[in-house]
Amino acid sequence: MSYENSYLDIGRVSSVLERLRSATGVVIQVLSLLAGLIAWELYASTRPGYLFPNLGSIYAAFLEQMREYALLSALGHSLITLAVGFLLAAIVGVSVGIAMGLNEYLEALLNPYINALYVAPIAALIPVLILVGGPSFETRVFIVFLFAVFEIAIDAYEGVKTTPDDVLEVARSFGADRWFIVRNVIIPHDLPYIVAGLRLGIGRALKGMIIGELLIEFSNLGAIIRLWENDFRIAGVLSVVVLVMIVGAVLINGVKLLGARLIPWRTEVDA
Amino acid sequence: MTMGSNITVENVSKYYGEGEAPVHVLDSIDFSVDEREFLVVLGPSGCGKTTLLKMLDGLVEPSSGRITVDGSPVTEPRGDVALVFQNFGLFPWRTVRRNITLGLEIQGVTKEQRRRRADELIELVGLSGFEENYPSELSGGMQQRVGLARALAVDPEVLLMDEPFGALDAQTKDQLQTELLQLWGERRKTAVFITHDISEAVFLADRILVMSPKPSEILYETDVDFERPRWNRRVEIERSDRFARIEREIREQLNLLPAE
Amino acid sequence: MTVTRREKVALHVAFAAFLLCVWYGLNHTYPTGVPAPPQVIDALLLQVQNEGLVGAVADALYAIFAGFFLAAFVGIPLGLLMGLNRNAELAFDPYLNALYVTPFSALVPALIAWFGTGFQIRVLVCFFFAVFPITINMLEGAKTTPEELVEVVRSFDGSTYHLVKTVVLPHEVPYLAAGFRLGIGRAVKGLVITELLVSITGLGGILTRWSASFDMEGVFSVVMVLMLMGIVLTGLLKRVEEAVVDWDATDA
Repeated sequence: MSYENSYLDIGRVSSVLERLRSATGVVIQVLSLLAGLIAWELYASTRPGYLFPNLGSIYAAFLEQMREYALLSALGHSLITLAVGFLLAAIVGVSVGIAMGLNEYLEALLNPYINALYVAPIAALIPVLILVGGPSFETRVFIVFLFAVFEIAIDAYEGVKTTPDDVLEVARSFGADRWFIVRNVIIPHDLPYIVAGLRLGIGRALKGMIIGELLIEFSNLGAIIRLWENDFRIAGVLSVVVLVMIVGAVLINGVKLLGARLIPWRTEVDA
Repeated sequence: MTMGSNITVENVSKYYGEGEAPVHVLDSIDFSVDEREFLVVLGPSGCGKTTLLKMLDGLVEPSSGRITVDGSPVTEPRGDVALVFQNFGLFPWRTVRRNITLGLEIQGVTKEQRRRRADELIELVGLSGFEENYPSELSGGMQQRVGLARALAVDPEVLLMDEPFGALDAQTKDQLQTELLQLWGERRKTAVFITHDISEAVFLADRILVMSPKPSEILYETDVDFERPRWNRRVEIERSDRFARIEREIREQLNLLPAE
Repeated sequence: MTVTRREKVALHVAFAAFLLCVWYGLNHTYPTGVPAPPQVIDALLLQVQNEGLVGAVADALYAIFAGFFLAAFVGIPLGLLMGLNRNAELAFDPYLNALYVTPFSALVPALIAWFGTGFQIRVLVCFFFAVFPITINMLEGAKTTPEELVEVVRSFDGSTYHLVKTVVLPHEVPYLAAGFRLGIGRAVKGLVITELLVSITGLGGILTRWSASFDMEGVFSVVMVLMLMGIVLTGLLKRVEEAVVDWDATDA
């Protein structure tokens, strides 16, 4: 059997024009960024160096922190807190989200709480957590967990709820039981949502990590920031900020890339 | 007394909703389908044809009346009846091969056997080379081929098709109609095919049931006795007087002819 | 098989009762660590009387709204511009991305040095927190304007001004509403972080004083106030958003 009328679209055909267009795009972004950096330098030159540092002194502070304040080791410890908290949030969040999607009573019960906590300023709970759990590693992990878990749960839940009726019907028409449908229809459909939730969740977890360390001052990156702040050397504060920004960008993109491998049939859902 | 697939629909009606104004979709439908017969149910959109088909598959329960397939009443989806969906219903996260083996998987067929069946069917419907592609990479016509292969994979006694070519462009539709008859000719299953396209119905059917709009009932029934195989004589059949006559009769029944 | 209204109410009442029992239970086992609900209420009243809680809350809300409106003032035109003009989008995109990954809590120490510990810094942080969702939503709305409608306007030789006025802005309305809802929630989060890190003045100050003396009820009360602010304000804007979407749908 032939099918001259059928056509195949795999990926996109990259034309020369398109490549040219994306090249100019990158140029514009780079120029824009340069303009911003130049503006920063110009302004910094009019202010006292300790208060509003220029880019050079931020970098110098960074180097000093690497040498004398064990910056990378602090970063490493911070990231451990992040990793443990995020992993817990992922496990709990995905499980609860899927469970809510599958069970209507659980959904009715938990929905208002999870939605409320999703929009609520979780940071407000930190003083309580510190007083109850002490300035410990566990407290910091719990803070990271709380920051990320609601996002992850809501996204996993939404994926389950939006499973299209037609694929469910197809499965039923072949006589599939509930368990088969959960494993082979609902969960695969949920994967892009779970990945989106993890991508958004890691950003939130990172924020939880930082603020946990700033309020529990004896720890890691937070300690370094405080030290330099107390010395009135803002360059040292900004250098850590930039470091965290870079780490954040790497982590988010990392999750995106890993996630893309989990869902080879499409691109991620934009949540 | 025939053995094998034989569908009976006895006095079936369907209502949706409760209370004041339930929607009366189907009204006292009575008909039967012989073994290996290709029955087409023709009617305007929204007249409950899809509901009827789903009832034959056990996905929907009739409000009253009874349906039997192969002698036994239909209460839930069963392995000897397979459905082809209008919007394909393919799993986006599965490759062509894994989509085709869905029914077999549910029935507990071994992996080796599934693979073999899939390869057979992929070749049959002309999708060789696309086993590992995802539905999003395929055209509509190709996706419906997968849908067809999936239904045939479980080797059902009865093949149900819900406007399977409705979502395709005219040329692809034409092609797939011809291919369907070719395929069907080789296996000769009992087939129930739903459409609102009159010429499609006349070309494919052994017998046509014409249904009215909601609440639907069977308005008219006609035999279509062109000889088989038909798929290789399409132009000749569609240009014949008999074809035109049957089409005209159907149009009259559906009140589609302008007033004389 | 859907859950009936009655079942829902019963479920929530039972769960709330359960949570209250857990709270009292914890209070019983850790009397110093976990205050009982009536103690928290007492602390709340005490704070209202002696510490100017109401004034601090008012200041906080003032900062939230000021930051929020500033964010709307900047974010709406910015998002629109970026959505309509590809070059603008490319130019501002790096800054938007930077905003997304910036750990503001780490930045606050620098902000304190630059802006002090008063009204300014709170408004600024709320602004930064809120401007992102507002801009992104406007951007998304402009980009998803249906092509056919755009072509209709262009076919009548309409200028960009007409395009924006007759097609883009009406299409944007639900996006704007969603952006506002997300923005206000974020503004509250920004305020809370600032309060916690500034910790000398305002709500943060009240919190610090009670934390320092380990008076849990006082901490609980302020925390509850802060959480409720976020939940309630977002809830209000969600109602507004739903009303807008309804109106939008019927109008169309």
